[in-house]
Amino acid sequence: MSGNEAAAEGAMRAGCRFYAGYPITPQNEIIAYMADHLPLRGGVFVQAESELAAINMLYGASAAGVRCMTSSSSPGVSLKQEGISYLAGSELPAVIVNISRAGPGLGDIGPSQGDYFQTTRGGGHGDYRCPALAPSTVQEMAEFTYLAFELADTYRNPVVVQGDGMVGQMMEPVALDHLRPPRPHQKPWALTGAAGRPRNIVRSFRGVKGELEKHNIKLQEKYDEIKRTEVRCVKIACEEADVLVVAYGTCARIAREVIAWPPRRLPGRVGLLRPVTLWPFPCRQIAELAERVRGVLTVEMNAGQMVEDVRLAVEGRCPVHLLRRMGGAVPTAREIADKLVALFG
Amino acid sequence: MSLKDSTREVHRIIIAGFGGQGVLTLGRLLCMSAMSEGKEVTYLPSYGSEVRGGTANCHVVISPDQIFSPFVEKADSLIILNRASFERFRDAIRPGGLLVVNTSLVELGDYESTHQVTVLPVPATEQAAELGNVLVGNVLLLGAFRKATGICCRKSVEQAIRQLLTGRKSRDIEVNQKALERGTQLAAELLQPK
Repeated sequence: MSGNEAAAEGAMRAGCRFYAGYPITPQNEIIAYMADHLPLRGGVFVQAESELAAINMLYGASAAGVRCMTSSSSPGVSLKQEGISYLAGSELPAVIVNISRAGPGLGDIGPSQGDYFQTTRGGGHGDYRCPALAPSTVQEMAEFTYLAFELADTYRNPVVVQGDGMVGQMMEPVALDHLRPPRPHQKPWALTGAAGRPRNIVRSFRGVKGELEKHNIKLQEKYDEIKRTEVRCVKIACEEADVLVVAYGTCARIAREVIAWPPRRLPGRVGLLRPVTLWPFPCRQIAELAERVRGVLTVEMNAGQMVEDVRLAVEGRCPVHLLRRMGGAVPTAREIADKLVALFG
Repeated sequence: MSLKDSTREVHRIIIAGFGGQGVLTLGRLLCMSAMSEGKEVTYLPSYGSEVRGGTANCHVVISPDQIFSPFVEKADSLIILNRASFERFRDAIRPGGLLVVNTSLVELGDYESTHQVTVLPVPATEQAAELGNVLVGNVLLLGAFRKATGICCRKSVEQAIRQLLTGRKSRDIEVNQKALERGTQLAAELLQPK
């Protein structure tokens, strides 16, 4: 199946029972799959009148305690930012799948990682963060979307699945049997009818002086806990590496191809660190490797966004370089190998 | 010139034609067939604004092991359905590779003398028209490609066709199976040592 279909299937297996979305390439297969399957599995599918409507429908569904998801591609996700900020402020769990395309503006439909800043910095207004998972295979589209629901409920926070047009459109075999129905999370805060209990209030507005700062401190403590416990990354051939490549999603797949090439075509032993969570970022893991490699090459389909986080992690321990493609272009394995040879050969 | 042993090694394929020729269906059938035999496969389609009359292409990788990049830079095999795609991809093949080409719509010119490539010229559109449905040219080419490379069993393709053509489309199963057979025959004749 395609990556988009896998994300939708993973969501339903995680117990997603409400989906609202507005069409945009290259993620329309998510909407189509949800429209076909979600009503048959006891859920509600809404093709909303806009991206804003969709994200705010999630606010309602999530407040009612239902596992819910929306999806879009970059320009559409920009439109959702206000709603994501409100979800984060109200501590409502929700899953947002972004199958990103090249910008800025309407840009084009080619695959891109240009939304890295938007995804990892919060995107909307105010001090908040969303955990962000970056799949690089169709299998991971299913698994990470499933995982996103667990993280969202565990931390009462929106979670982003940050894919791109390539991983959304491509097809691969997928194993789904292990994505069993999860144990339901208790949601004593949800608006389920207040008969026999004190009423619950879901809101992001805190007008009493001092209350909002307290709320922000609580949110930051939650984000600190996420940073301590939810960092995920994959390391390939890093133990013996002279040179480290850092790449995620589509770029990580292509870099992985290079790592498998015979050493004579590369400048020594090359390792790959692939961030799975873009936030929280694997800072410690990169810092440890930076102690003993000659340098780092970051490969991205944007003007150089994650490279800033890599530099913050490396803190000058070794040189950090960038190989970038923009506007829907994808780096080739040969380009990565040539750059490695030029830098470290 | 000997072709790659497709059963043991990674095989990278680019399939290209114009929108409506069944380029993407050809890629999917190939992937489904190889997958049913336990191979790893990736299928990467061109998507979006290039539809209906524009060019369509897909990258397919088939491997006994895990596949990393789904992009094909230099193909082991090209399957080309029209002239525009031939011009675009004629050099995206490694020396010693295989070109399966729809000669109903493509003139090869001096290609064979300038490229170290095995060429399998299949008049797919004409042959498909003879079978009564010009749309099955893609499956005819798949039959020829499969026969030339041994990349999967014919039974697996037959099964994939039945799997993909469901509901109203199931009435086209028979003509597609015929196209598969015709493609196989043509390849067998072309590959016979002269």
